[in-house]
Amino acid sequence: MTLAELLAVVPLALVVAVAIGASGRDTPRDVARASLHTLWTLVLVVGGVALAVRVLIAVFV
Amino acid sequence: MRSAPDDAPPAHATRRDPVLAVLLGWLVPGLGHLYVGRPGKGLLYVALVGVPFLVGLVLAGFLCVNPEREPVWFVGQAFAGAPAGVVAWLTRTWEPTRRIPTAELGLLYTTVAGLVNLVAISDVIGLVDARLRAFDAWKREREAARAAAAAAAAAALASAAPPVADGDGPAFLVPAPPEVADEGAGPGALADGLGVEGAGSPAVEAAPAPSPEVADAAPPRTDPAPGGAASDGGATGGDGATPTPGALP
Repeated sequence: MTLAELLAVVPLALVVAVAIGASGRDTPRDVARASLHTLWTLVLVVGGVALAVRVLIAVFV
Repeated sequence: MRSAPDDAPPAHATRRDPVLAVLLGWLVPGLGHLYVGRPGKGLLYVALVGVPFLVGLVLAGFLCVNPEREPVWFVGQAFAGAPAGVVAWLTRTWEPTRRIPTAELGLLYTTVAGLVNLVAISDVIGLVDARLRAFDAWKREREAARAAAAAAAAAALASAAPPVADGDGPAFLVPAPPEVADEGAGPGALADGLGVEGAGSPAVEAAPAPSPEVADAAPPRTDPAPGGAASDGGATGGDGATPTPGALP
């Protein structure tokens, strides 16, 4: 995946984070807080998996 | 004092059909939220579903929503409801004539838009459930208020009922028959008992005659006043036959 492809999915990550953050929340403050939390979780999971794959490739390939 | 709730539930506690809410939310993104009374959140989900869907269509040249060419992706796109169906029907005969470099990205965007609408539908289900819970709470509160009102009415009715006169009860509640007064009290006591003005003893004649309203409203005295006017007459209890010292000449 190139950097352009990675940047192309960033808006999708934002949309998913806001959608999940807004689900079950009523006030805009709660929605914003939950959306940021979800986005941070998404970045950590995707980044962690990508880093692990790169490390595995670097070690074993 | 807490007032009894009305028969109509409050706006946030009105019931909504969950099946209809899910169907509306699936067919048109945001319509389910409008149905359950959350138009603002519906607009948010309209944007969260509609913008990625349109961007995906543009990126893929309106050729990414096709159940025959892309059956697996269409499963996710179908959660967008009517927009996906309309686009698939309108572009069912379109064939790609050139390679589109962002076609895969368009597929991803439109599919994620459909899955976001799935999140919106789950939120609608939660809102319907919250309304049902609020309705149940309002119903329980109304039944409790009605039971409390019935208990209060029963208590008020019981307190307003006349007590049963027994030997220990207050004497003024037991009216004495007028004919008892003439058994030993003489004509003066009888006249007082009947309320005849000017027919009693001199002491009775000297005393001012009470008006009927006052005689009815004020409880008569049961204990004879020494030397006082014997105006208690027929209203006295069992002692009505006993002549009082002031009543008899």
